[in-house]
Amino acid sequence: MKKIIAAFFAAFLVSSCLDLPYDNLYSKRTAYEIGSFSKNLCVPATLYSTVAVKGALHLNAYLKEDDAGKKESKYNDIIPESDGKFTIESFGTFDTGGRNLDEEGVLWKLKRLPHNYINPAEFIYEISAGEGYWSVNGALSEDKSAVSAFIKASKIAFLTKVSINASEEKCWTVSFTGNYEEGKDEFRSSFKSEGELSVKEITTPSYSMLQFYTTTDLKITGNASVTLYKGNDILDWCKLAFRSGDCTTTTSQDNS
Amino acid sequence: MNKRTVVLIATLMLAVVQSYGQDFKRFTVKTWYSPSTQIQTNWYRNYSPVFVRGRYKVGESMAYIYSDYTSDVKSPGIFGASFSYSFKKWFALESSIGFTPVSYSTFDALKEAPTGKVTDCMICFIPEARFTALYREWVRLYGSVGIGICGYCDLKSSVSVALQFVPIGVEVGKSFFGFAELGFGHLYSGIQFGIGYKF
Repeated sequence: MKKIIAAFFAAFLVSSCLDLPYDNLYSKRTAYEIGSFSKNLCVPATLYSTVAVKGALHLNAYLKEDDAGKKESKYNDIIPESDGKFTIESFGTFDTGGRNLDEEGVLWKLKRLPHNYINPAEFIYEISAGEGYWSVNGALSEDKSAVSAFIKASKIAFLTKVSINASEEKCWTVSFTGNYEEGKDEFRSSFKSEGELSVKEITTPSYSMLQFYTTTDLKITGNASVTLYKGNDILDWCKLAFRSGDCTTTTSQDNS
Repeated sequence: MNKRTVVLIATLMLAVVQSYGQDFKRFTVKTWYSPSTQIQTNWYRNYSPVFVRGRYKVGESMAYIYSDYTSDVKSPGIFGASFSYSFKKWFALESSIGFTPVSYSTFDALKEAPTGKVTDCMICFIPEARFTALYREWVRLYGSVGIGICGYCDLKSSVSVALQFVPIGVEVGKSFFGFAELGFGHLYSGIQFGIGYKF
């Protein structure tokens, strides 16, 4: 059985964006318009950051193995490059600096997710260990030759915290905050998670074209908010609700 | 002018000369109106190079979402004229030209305020083969099918192939007559009516 692991996007927005005035401000565009745009901001911060951590943990486990362990089939997708760099199919190229991820003060860099069809933009991720979470600084690459005109003219940056202990349970909790700027006409946006979102990994065996393979869906549950500005004036705001990937296990406890 | 063209023109001229003295009038001019502008306005909305876009916009950039937008395209109707030559009582070649004025308002998306009104038009030219099923002195029933071109009035943008099908039309009158027909296609889709003169 040939095993193909692919990170597929499967976050469905059941309710996209509330169409209500923000305090006494007039809502200028419809919920659908703002919700669709807002999703493009929040999904990279939530989903791609989790995928980046998932790839980093896979590589970190590989680095801790002895020579025999590194030859196990589960590490077949890791291709060592020079100067502490490793390319992993479906994730991109990690620059480890020659150190393990869980060493103190270590910061890994991941350049893009080359086979991710929903993310044509080239994001750069900086992954490091925080207190109880993996920290992911994401930003659009300066090299935007392969992306749309919109991406070329914009800047997206976010800081995402991905729960550190949940990888074995295939369910992460994620929080993020980020900013978006568009050079033209001073349009900008801020976006953040409301509390924690959960990202659940669901693996499904499939059969197609005379071969077996495995698809891995990452599904998001939780809320996020997005505010859109022109200069300092608020144009619209949006609360996004992701409803598809409820986790059966929790990694944070509300003791109240 | 090649030989084939000369023969074609000569044949047409002969047919015209032969027509005099016949018992029916072979030339017809008509002017008409159709209120059925849905095809034209849809075409203009979807394909015009100058029409911006409607109110609702889903896109990747804020500049796109908050860019100026337009109202729906409106038109008072299609105004046209036709000229035909009858080879037989049952068969004629007809050329129709239709003129469709369109207009729409533009709005500033940030202020939600109107910024102006744009007027434009579309024009179609369609030669048709016309078949008359009933030919009486005062009443004629006919149908037609045609293929031609449609474009925008600035004539700079490209033209497109246009089709027209008229399953039924009726003329009432002698030399001066009124007519109404039902048709489907790019010239009009719905009802068309007008007046004409045979000579």
